[in-house]
Amino acid sequence: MSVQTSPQQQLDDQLEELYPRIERSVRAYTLGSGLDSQDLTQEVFLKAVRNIGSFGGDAALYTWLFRIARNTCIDAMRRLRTRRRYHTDTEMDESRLDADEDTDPVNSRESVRMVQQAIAKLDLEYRDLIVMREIEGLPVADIAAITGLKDGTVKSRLFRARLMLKELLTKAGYEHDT
Amino acid sequence: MTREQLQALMFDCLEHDCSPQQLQQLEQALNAFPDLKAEWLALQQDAALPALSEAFPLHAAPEENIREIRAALGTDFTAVVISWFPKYMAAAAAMMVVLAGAWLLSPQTFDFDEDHITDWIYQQDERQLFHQEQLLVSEFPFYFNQSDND
Repeated sequence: MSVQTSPQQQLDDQLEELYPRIERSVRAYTLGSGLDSQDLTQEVFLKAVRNIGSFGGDAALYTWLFRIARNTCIDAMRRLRTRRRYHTDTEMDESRLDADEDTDPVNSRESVRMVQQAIAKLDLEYRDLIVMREIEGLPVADIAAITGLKDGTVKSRLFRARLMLKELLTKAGYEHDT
Repeated sequence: MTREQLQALMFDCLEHDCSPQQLQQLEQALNAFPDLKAEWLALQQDAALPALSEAFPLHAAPEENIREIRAALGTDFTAVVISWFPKYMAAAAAMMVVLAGAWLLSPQTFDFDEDHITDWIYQQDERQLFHQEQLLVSEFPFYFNQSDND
């Protein structure tokens, strides 16, 4: 006899696995903005706990959490952009990327820095898709469900996003190792 | 085919998710869109984008964040206990220490009433009589043992 676990229990069971993945997405969304990814991730999970009743179980818990994380990040970025309109602050500067960098020696490589800078320069619309597809590896169908777009539209925008990312990387002088 | 449909098809082909027929159809259709053809060739030349996940390694979740989420979920007994223990248990323990100290340091008084005094005098009399008897027994053993012998 299988025991049906509650959404609370599911979240509790998968917390250690889900937290780092969600934190990584938040870090990618807010890269170069100066926003604290740990604080935002905590906000995402506390929002999820408050609204755990709305998790129907029809989607994967990760997808449901990712949707909350995405909305939280987009809201935070918009608020930040609005605030900066009234101050002479730049959208993204390289000093903020340093704060986001990992202490891992691999991550301090120039190529990693170039990739991070390129992603930070992408429009939020395209960065959104790159995070979902290239960093989190979500299937096109899930991305379509999260964004409310058609599969074909997601694919065409992903194509353009990749093209823009490639242009930015080429402009920065990036050379892929392989 | 519209531009958007073509871009979607190019995405599928880059993901190796299209048939040879679709690829041929794409290449024919791209002749009508020279800008898209240039983009297609550009992405094909160096199709492999860097592994972006390498630029975003996973970080371990901070313990205190996990504990806070579990406390909010109400699923972690330890977290819940730890969250309320310092507030209530420490206050209760401090109160007990204060009360015990006050009791120990307070003057230990006892109100003697008439009955207590009477009892006490009676006990003293009994004790005195007992000792007197013991003295008599030691002084005049014959007198006391005579009846026993009889």
